Amino acid sequence: VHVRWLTITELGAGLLLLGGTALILARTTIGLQMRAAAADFRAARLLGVRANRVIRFAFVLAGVLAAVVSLLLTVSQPLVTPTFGLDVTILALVGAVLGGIDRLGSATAGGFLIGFIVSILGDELPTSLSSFSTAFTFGVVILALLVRPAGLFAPFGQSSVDRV
Amino acid sequence: MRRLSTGRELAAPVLLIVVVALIGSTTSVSTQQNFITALVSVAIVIGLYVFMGNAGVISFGQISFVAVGAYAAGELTIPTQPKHFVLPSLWSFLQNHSVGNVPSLAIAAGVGALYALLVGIPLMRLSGLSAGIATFAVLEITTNVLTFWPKIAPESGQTLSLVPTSTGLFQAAAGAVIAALVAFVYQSTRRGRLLRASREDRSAALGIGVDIHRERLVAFTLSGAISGLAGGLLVHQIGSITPAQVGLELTFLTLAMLVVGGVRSLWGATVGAVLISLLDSYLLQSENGLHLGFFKLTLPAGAADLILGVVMATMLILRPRGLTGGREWDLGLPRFVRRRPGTEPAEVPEIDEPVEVAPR
Repeated sequence: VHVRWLTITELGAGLLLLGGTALILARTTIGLQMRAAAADFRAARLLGVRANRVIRFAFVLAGVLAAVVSLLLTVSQPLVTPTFGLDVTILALVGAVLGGIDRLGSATAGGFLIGFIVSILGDELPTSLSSFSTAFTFGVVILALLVRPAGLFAPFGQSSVDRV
Repeated sequence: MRRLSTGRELAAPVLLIVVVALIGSTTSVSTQQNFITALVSVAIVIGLYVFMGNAGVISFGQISFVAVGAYAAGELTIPTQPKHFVLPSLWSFLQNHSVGNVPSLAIAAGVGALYALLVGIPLMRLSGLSAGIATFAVLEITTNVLTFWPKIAPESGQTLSLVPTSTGLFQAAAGAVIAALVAFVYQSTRRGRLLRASREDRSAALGIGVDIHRERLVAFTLSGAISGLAGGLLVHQIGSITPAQVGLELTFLTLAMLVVGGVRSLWGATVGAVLISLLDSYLLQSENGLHLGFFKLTLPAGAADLILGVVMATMLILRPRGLTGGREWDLGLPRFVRRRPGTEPAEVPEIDEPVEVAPR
């Protein structure tokens, strides 16, 4: 089996970034504030979390992560256009929401899951239906969201039923 | 008194639509298309507003109802004779029947409503970001199926052409007025008010017995009907349609129009659609050279999108709640002119909160 160095690099970079992000979220003040803001923005503000600073930091962090990804992406798909990242970004957002976007672990797992769904459907659908793989993918997404609106990998007990 | 003033709130959008149509009627045939586009955009954005404005739930899926409306109206108005040739694998019912212009628009609205109802029954249970993603999924599915299912649309995403171009200024304006009328009547009724109550305070609305799922479904279906009608207007304006024309790009553009105008009011939807649509059309035209009185303005290619983006960002930074602030306009003087103490409704302090990602 031939494994390209790129794949290994991608794996390594992914693990490194994931670990780094997890460390920031778990061990630093700003990470704690980010998690607090994600859980309850209003309460976090009342407790003295500086909202603008948190949002700015999260935005920059996301930008840095995206920049690294773009570097790897341009190597693996050498055709670069101004919008070549859009499809990946949209799919990633869908995956993160599918898994549960307010936790690093569940969002990451959701990203993997959407990747698996896309490639499995791409391979396994009969040829007469292969052009509809997008429709099937998003059909699965809708079903999953209906079953677990907060995300497939969100902790149980965090029900989406409205409490009054 | 209250009833009278709310009636006046309908007058403002209708008046704007009529003014746009009248100005358009004085221009040349090619420039007129910009105004027709603006009026069709008004209809689409009002469709968006009926759901998003009243329910306070984001949806990226309303353009799929525009798409099915456009395809339904388009396919049913192509005369049966050429239809057998250009769309050989079309479902035989669609192939053997053709209707006139007005019935095709009614059918477009009906198909849009039906599709929205079917999609809405499961989807209206969602809110927040999961609703956004699920409705986006509906759009992707619609585009995908319209592209690759030759029984309901041309094969592999080819253009559906030969559609009679019956949407002139009059038809576009009439469609936009109907959309505004439906939206206004809906938001003035008990149904609309219950939904708006659930938008303001979910728990309180549940507490007084509002069936949020049902109210959202009503708004979603109405929105689907208006969107379908708008799709019919669109296909009759262009004379052809591809799935890409009623896809992601139109979704983002019309959402931007609604947000720039003000998501929470019919007036905002109308203003945003007219402004951004005209700006967009004229900027695109300037890339090919636009005559302004004595001189000719020529923008470099691609500058239109750039300027449009900068303008919209500036507007939103200056007025985060949209140009209208999400208020209706009852044709009265602006606030800073009229200063009679005691006549103004008490100002409710508004707290800017981010979109709630997951229900707590």
